[in-house]
Amino acid sequence: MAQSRTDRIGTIFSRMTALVRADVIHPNNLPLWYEVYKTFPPKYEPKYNRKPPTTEIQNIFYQEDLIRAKFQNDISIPIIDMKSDDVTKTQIFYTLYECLLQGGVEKEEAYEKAMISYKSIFKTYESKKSHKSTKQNEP
Amino acid sequence: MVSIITRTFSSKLYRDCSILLPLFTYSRKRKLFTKPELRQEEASNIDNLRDINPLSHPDFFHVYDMFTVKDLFDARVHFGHKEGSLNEYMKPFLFGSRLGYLIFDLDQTAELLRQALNFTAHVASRNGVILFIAKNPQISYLVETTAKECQEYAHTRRWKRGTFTNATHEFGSITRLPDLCIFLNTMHSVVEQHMAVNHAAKMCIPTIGIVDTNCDPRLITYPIPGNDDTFYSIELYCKLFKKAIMRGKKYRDDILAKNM
Repeated sequence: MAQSRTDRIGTIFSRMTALVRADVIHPNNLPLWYEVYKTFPPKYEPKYNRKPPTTEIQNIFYQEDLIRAKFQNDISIPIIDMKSDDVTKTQIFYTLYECLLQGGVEKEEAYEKAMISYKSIFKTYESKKSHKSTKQNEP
Repeated sequence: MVSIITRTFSSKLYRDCSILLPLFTYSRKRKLFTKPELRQEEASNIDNLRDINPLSHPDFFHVYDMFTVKDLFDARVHFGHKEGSLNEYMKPFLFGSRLGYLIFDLDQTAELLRQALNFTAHVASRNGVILFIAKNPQISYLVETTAKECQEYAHTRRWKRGTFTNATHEFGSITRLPDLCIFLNTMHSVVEQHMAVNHAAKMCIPTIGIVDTNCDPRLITYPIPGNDDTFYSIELYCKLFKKAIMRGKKYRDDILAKNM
């Protein structure tokens, strides 16, 4: 059977169509995927020589990240078990902080208050990092 | 606990849905997003199965409601590799980069996966030979079992050069090549692409492939952006493809039984 092995030119569909147009393949002898492909063509044409897309990758950041980073800098949290669905310590702290913020407390005061109430719930250890550098990294 | 990423994804998802709701009518060219489609009664009715051409219906085999974006998220399909190994052709499928790790846009993954499942079901209903390919030894047993369960074929071992391109010589007689190749993993090694991707394109065999951020989606006919390293996600893909194939085959058997 006639075929075209030029895999980098056009698509499988365009090559098959060209073979039909050139009368090398009878329309009755088309592969069975041909009709399906014709009705449901893929969203992106599978051409090898297409131009690379120019879309930029955006960074994913959240408002909470600042507080989380600050918290994890100040306090060393235990190892997180990724398999369990338990709420992480950082998330508990953030919830406390958020509750205080909604109560109308200022940001820094809320952080300190949340830290005090967090320390009253959990046994905490000072982060090792905080000894080395007092500067807080911005995420 | 609902994690932060879920929150963003779901908020994005609801926003999209509210915009798209008026578009959820039957037209072939419409975009199908996260919401499962409404069923059309006539397709499930066996009495008039013969009257309908499967191709005239946008979702004849009901593959659009087989999974939700939440299922994809739970199966960890959204995790990509690190930025350094990104293939530039994968950029449009990405949601963003979280501290250097790439995250897939699951809305796009869902749309493309539904398209691929629809194609699979149609090929299966037309008596096509479907070949599952995955070189990764961690998943080869799963892939082979899946292929066995839906009575199709799998190739999970070393790929010989002539398997497609010189099949007559390789197998000793004229061989029917598969009508569809499903790649659960398109990579041969960490950096090399699987040879079968190229060879399937050479032999004009349509391909469906799970492409991670380090894979090249250009030669794959129906690329599905998603995580191809996690066992859970591979399990989900296998389950979905198996279901789609079984639906296609069931339709074919119904037609045959009716014609008897």
